[in-house]
Amino acid sequence: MFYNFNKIEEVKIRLRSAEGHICEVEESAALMSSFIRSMIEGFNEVTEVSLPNINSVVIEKVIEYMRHYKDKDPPIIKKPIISSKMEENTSAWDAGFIDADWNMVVDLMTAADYLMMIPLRDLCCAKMACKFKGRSIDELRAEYHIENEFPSEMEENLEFQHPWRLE
Amino acid sequence: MQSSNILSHILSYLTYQELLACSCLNKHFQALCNNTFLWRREALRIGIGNLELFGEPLLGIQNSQKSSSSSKWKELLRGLIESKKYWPTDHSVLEPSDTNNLVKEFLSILREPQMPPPTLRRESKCLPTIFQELLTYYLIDESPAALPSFDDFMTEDILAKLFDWSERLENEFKGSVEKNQFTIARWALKDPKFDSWTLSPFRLSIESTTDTYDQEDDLCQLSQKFPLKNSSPFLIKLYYAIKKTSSVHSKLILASILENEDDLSLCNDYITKWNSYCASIKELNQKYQAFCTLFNEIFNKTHEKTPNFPPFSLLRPMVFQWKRKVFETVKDKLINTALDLLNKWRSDQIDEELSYLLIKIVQALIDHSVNELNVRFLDHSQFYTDGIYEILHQKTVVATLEYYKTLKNLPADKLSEALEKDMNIIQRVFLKRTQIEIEKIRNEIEISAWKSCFCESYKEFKAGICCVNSNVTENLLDSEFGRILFNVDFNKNRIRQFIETLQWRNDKMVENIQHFLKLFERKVELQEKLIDDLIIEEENEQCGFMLEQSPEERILFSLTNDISPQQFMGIVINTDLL
Repeated sequence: MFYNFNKIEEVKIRLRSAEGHICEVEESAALMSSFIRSMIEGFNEVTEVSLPNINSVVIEKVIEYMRHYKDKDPPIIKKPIISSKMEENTSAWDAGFIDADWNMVVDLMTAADYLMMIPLRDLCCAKMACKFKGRSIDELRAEYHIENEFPSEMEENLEFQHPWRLE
Repeated sequence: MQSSNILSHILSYLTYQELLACSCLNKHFQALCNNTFLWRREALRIGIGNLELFGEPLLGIQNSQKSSSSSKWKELLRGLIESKKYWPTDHSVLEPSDTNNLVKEFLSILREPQMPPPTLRRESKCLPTIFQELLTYYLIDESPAALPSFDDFMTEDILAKLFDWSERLENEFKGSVEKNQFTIARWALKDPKFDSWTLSPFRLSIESTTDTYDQEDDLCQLSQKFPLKNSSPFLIKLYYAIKKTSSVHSKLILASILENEDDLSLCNDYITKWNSYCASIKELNQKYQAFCTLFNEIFNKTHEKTPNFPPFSLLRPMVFQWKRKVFETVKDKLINTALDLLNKWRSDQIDEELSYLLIKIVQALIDHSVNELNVRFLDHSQFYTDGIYEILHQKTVVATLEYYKTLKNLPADKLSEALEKDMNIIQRVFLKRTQIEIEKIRNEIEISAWKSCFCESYKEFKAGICCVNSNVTENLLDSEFGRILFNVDFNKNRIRQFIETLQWRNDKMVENIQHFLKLFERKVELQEKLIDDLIIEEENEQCGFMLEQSPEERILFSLTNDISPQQFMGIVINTDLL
């Protein structure tokens, strides 16, 4: 009898999105998520994991990340970040991967948090931090619709207290 | 993760400038930015640099368990950033960009000095520490080997420009008040609490008229009223900037050291950072050579007689700042930990790593007990210091006496083994002076134990077994051993028989007698001047260094005791040196 071991397919994990769509990912890649890992280790026969908080577009994006880092460790982003450009803070692949619109980054971060994928969560946070980097108080308030809660004299005082921030 | 936690996590990727901007956005951001972890990390990043160098990971310390407040770290960081304002920006001497580069390089060297390669890190007792090596070069013409320069800034070139203005800078010291400031600064007189006050001309005038200046409240008020003047001489301002910057850096170091949860980690951390600071001093001394040379040259010109006192260098003000801000707070912990480790070593309770830590702690304490004069006599059995090592020495001797008391009940041969082992520890850790003092104690105890042992054996001796006349017998009979037995029995023949019996039996006692006689010889040696001491004295006398220091030298060269300007001026006037 002849066995072709190479042809034995890896177990796949089915991830069910908020819309009910199924996205498949290799088990070895899915184990990047501590949430999925605990499901698999807790219940031996589990091959499907329901993710009611995450839509299928985001799940596909997460799977792309899982597959890329299946066999290697993601780079660590140093704190604080050195630039508002992600390619100067992390690898080119990571920078390209996270080069998405704001809503997508927020959704990815929420998903990473839910799936307990710390490197992906850190990547999203660093991307968001880039948006704060090198911006004035007024620019930040305008962009994120932040209401100024400080009375004007207090605001002046804040500036007065921190002249060294400009050093 | 809650939105606040996510925001906190995002904020952790920002620098202190961006955090300050964010804290002005609204109250929510203000609260989030008030995170101890963030400010601690930024203060340490700016002040200490690569945290990995000190064994602390740069990442992953999101949730600090420390009880310290964010405002403490914010203030430390603020002090560090604001120290830039103390650096003089006099357009006619240095361009603002030059001053800026001076500050940048100064901070950068404090943050990450070029440490010697691991093999040269003075990790063995037989090698001096970085600091001691620096001191030995201080008064003679040899400078420490130049460090390779990898920097973008060129402090040495910038400071060399000062020579173009030396005449003008010299003229700034024509008035007597400025002259006094110069004198005080040159000797780095130490006034722990009131830095600006030290350099204020008002202090000197008040000192000469009233003795009430030591009332702290008055001093505080006066210090605020008369800070370092804008019109102060340029060199004084530069000196003051160096002192102030070293001071804020030392405060930050202390805060980071005090975070250690146990005394062992604290001592280990202290030693790492002290070594790093010494490497900074070494590097900065080199880079600021032009400034120091000019400072000394102008001083020699403006003062009629040049006293043979320590020349000005960055070492003195920087060491004083460290001593006040860091060392004074942790010195008791260092001593207690050293004694604790010594006790554990004696009872075989520590591994090689901890015994090595003990050696390093003692070295660090020695560093704060030496000056340029006495560092050359470290291995002298009469080495004396008014520094912290003296306390360690006294406590070690007392602890040793206590320990030896516990050994007294052992049989003489076991006691001898235990004392031998203990001496090996002492010799590995402490200075010659402590070794000799402990060796004297050991000698007394061991000789006394052997005496009792020999007398006891003699009492048990039954005479008349054999007669073997030999030179060995006669020698032993005439030795200290024989004298001991004469004290017990006047019968010389019986003692001779006893010795012969011991030889005939090939008893181990003969070996013990030989050992005892060696101890006795050593005891006599220890009472006289040691050959090693004579060699050290001879070598140093050729360079003009003496073991004995005059009272004036003790005060002026001291790196350990604070001296008030009043004391200093008293010495200067009494010795008529200025």
